[in-house]
Amino acid sequence: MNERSSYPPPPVGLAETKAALEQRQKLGHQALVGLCGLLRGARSYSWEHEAFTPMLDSLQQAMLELLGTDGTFELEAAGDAFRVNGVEIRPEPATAPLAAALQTELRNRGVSGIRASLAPPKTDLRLLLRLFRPAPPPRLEERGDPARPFQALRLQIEPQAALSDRTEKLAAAYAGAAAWVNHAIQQLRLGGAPLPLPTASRLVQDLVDLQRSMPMRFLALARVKVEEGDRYWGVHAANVAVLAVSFGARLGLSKRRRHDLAMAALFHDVGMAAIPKAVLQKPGKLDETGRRAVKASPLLSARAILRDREVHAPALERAQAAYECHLDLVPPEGALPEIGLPGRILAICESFDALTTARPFRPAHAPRAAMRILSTEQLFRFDPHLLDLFGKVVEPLIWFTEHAG
Amino acid sequence: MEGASPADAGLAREAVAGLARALERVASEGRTAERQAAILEAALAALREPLEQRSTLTVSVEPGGLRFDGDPVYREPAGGPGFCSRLHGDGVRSLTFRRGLLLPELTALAQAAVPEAPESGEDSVTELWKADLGSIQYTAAPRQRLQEHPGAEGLAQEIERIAAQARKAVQHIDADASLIDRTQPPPLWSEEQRRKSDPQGWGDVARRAALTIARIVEHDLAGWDLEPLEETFLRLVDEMARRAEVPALVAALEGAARMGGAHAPSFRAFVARQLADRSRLQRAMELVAAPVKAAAQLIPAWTALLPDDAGPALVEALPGARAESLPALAGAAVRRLGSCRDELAAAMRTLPVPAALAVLSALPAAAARPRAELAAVALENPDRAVRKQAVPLVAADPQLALEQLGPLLADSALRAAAAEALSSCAQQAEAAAALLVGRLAPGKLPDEDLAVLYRALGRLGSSAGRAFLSERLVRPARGFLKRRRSEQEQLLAVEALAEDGSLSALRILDDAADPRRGHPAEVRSACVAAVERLRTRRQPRDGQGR
Repeated sequence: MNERSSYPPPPVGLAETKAALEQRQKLGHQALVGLCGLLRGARSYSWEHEAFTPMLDSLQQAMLELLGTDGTFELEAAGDAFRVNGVEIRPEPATAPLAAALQTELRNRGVSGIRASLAPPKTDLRLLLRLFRPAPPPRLEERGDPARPFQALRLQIEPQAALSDRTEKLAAAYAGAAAWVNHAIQQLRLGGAPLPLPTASRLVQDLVDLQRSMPMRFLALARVKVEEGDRYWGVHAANVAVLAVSFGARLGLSKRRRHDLAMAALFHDVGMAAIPKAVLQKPGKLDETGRRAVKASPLLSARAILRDREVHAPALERAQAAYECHLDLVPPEGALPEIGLPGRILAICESFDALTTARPFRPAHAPRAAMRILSTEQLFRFDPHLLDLFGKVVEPLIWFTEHAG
Repeated sequence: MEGASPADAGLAREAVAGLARALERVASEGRTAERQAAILEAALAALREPLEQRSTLTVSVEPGGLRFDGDPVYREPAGGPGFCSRLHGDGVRSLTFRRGLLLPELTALAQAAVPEAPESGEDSVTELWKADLGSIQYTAAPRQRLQEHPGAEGLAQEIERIAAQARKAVQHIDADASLIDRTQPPPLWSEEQRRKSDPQGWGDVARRAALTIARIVEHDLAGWDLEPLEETFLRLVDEMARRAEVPALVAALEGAARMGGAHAPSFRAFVARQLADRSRLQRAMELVAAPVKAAAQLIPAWTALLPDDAGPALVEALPGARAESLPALAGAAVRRLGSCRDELAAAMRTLPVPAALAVLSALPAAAARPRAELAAVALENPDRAVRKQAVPLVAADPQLALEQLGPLLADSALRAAAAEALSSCAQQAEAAAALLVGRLAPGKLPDEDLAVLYRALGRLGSSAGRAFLSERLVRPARGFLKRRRSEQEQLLAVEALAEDGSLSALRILDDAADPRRGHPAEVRSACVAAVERLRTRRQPRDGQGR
């Protein structure tokens, strides 16, 4: 029987398109919930157990409906999200942890997607469930376990080399971002033109994409430290971008927002270009002139961005975050400043990275000690709620530093 | 495509060409989301069938057009670069549409591709990447990749050095499987928390950015970037006006007005010159109708910054201005009379009533001579309310007042106002009194006008006026029929002499209070009361003399 003939043709018109999108979201969510249910049950029951029947029914029904409307069923694990037939599925809060676990399980098996262009029989779905057993088949191919292949379902298998490629790409993007900032600061000092903005944007796009597929490795980049002179600012900016993108991802900020946050991070200290090197590299306390110069740097960073005459939101956010991330949330005197979310996030990330890096005037603090300083001595500078959440984001970093050195 | 029949290939080509034409239309006429959706909807419908047949459609992007299956399917019209040139210039080389394509995705593509799309600002590759479209994929030239950029040649060594450190940091993680297992925890914020904590309104960030520019200038940190910062500020103001972000606009203008620092005057002068531009001023006038509280502050904030020579533009804006903006606009024009005296004078004859009244209300702030001159011109305005409000202002110049207001004593509608105004011409008291006496002598004026004219005459304190009043008090017209009228005029003369308040007036009143003069009882008692009042008023002054 032709499954597609029993379903209505794709809807036309704005309202109907919206309805189609919502329908795809609903069916995609149903399929995702079905898969998550299978994953949860597979740890407790045999894959042939009757307990799975309702979940398999629900999963099959969603797949069939999507096949009927779109002619295909394609579930992709894209970074920390799932897409079903191109639509990003927003899991409900109760499903989110299971969806995250499903991501991990699929990744551990080298699977990045599941698809079908024909209606999958129940046996295929049972075989899919079988893959989630605590002892999965040793090798998977496009049709699943070569010993018991699917009829209609197909797996999208990540090539083994992909991980090392991505790690290499991650290192290159990070290093590129740091070098870009150093180059920009140097050019500003010399009065020359920095590299075009899209070159920085491409690096940030890579960073944001890679964070989605390898969040822990990505966060580990913040452990890179450079103390020496001029190169400090680039690596510091790249680390702030890494921390900010990780933080943004945990807060659930959109890809667009994470990009803008990372761009703001790269630019947040470009004002340092206007400060004499002798001041920046001076060991010990600064004199009054030095203190004044450093105090002016946030406005100088904003100036370096605002002079480009761009007034679209990302450019303005960059400038504002560069300025606002250096403001105290509760200043000792005067009115409370207005600080947007990017500024509040960068303030925490930038202080954390600065504290965990050795500087000419003090040694580096361990990550846990840095968090303690942020939440006690410097708390007046930060949004306490965000600081609390940031602690959760850098927990693995702290754990790793303390246990693995 | 190999498997496609010629008819299918033709259908696909036509659908792709239709999409290109739709994008071209979006560039020229699709400035609102609704309009864009309407334009793109038909293109999407045409794409559905070929997408059903082929699953994907890939088009190559070229500098001036699109190519599909190797054949050109669209050329940009002459007369400037279109969306293909923008996409190609930014590095986009192909676009692939997948089955399941939705209208919001096409709209997002249009926003990325269409030049100067209002919401955009970044290059189209970044916009496409940000839009994260499930059914539209793109390929981009590596030109903007750091490694490929000619300007980054010298960075290779540094990049490699940092990348080595990065690899090392990541390898540490790879060595510990327990860390890998900790991936993908659930989000810490709900959708609602995200929305609340990160509103992302353009107006808000633009307002803060404008104030940051003001802060940079105030702290004398603008350096050689002062001019670019001025231009950015102006662009912000223009964009705020275009987007009707009135609270942000008001905050930015007020920030510029109160900005201190050595460079503040030149910064303000630049902004002020641009704000005086007629089209900008016109937009500001439109924004006064915005349904926000800050709208009331817009024109005062805007005009406060305008340069001294902005008068003509302000005068030009007056006829079309909304009622709520008129006081500020007229006030601003009057403060700049030096640059627009002739224009305002010409306008006073023809301005709509509310605008003319607003100018007259603002005129007291002007110097006496121009105030009187402009008011005198307003006497030619056809509207009586305008003429009436102009009358007292003419008195600022006594000589002009005599010339302009004397004839108005014959105008029953303006007589009282003219008399009141003349009463303030102390420097020309005798001449003014002569005008009033000239009008009073023949009699036959309505009671209200009589009262005003007598009072005005008294207030002038002129000798001619006193003589007239004394005459009316001491020798009233005789005869039975005129008795009531005479008594009334006597009482008005008493009141006017009391207004005069001079010693001579006091003597006249004192004498008339004497019963032997034979004045009616009512007149006598009015004289007694007036004398009492004047003596009481004069006593402290006399006492001081001793």
